Amino acid sequence: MKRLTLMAVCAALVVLVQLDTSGTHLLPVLLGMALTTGAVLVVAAAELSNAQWIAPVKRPLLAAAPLLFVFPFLVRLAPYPWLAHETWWLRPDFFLARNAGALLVLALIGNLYRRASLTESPAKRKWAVGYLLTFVVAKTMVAMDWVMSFDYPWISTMFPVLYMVECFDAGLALIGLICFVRRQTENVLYDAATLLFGFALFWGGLTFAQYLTIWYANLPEEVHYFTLRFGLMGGREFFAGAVALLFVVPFSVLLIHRARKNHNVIFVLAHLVLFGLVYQRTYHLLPYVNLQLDWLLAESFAMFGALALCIRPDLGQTDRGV
Amino acid sequence: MKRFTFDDKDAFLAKLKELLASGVPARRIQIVTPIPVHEALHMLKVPASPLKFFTFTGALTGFVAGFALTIYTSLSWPLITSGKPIVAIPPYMIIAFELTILLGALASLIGFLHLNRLPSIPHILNPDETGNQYVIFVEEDQ
Repeated sequence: MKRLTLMAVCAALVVLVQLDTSGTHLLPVLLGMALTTGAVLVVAAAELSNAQWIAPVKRPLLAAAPLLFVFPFLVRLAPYPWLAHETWWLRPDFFLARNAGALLVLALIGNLYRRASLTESPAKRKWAVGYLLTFVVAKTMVAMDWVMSFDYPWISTMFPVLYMVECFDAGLALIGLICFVRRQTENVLYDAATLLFGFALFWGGLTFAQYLTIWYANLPEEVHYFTLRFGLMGGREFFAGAVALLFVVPFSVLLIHRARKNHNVIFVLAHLVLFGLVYQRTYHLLPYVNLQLDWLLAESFAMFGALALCIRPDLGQTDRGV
Repeated sequence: MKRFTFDDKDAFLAKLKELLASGVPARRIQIVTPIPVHEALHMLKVPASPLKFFTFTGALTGFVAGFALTIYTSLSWPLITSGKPIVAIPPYMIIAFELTILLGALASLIGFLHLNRLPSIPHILNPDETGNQYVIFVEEDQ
């Protein structure tokens, strides 16, 4: 019954996204993808580095992996300006094929890794490496094709890295939420919070590096990325909000040693980080996508409902941690 | 002075717990460990090290000095580059960040040496060298 409900919600999500011509789907789908890929990513990275703290939350995080199979069906065109001036790389058929293909490979490897990890198979390290490599390729495509291509011919090689770091942020925020629900007092909360602290710093550094490069070079096609958005109503506020929620707040709060052990603090912080991701994506889409509230609510409900349905059965399950 | 030596951290922690539970006051116990053992410090209620104040002071000094240096030099020899303002915050952030790290690290080192009363030539060789072992010293009751 639960599986049928999950499949129905996923089908509804696919239908909604395919019917939505406004491009609104990008916001919930990108956030849902950050959470889903981030959940598996954190486990894969932790297991590869022999981090034993991940064990207590491994099952609920890996429970998100089947949802990866939905993303290839959520690939669709948004109102991209390049549709009027197609290039050999930016053309609809190739766009859909390469993105769906990359996400399908990511889903396959992610689920093979999930099975190997849950059964403690010796092959789990091999699949973890495979997942990380595929993640880099798929996420680069998603960041560059789905979002950055709005601003073509502006190109930034730092942009996909920012999206990858945000997946880590999303995965770690999810650990914070899981720990809060379970009232888990093991090292996992402290270690995840410490990692979040590190990734907040990394995100801040990357964002500043991108801003400084564009500011210094002062090239019209690059400056356009900021001036266009800052000129719109809410553009500056969304940028400042993302910087505050993804860097300033986590960095300042997690600097305090005791805050990293407190469920309630991490619970609030996890929400703020997720809101920061919403701000960041809204800032990117602002000039090109007219966000429709009805589509946004329906697609968000289906996206996060599917994620919750995936994780919920495994929420109480735990492996032995350290 | 009684001395208990362990090769294993868990056994060391268990003995420490036992000593404290038997009523030995924490002020009569000294421990020597090859790696930081936070649980032991927690059990002995060791107050937090004031080292962080050295780091914070150094870092804050570096941050302020970074901005002061860049702003002062720009204003004393103003050169307009690419139409940017004479005093522009983004590039100065890098100098301020670097000096924050540099002075923060140097202040930490100085704080560490000062708090540990180092370098101390007379104590350069510890006769109670314990290598990789976990050791508990308990002062005898007077």
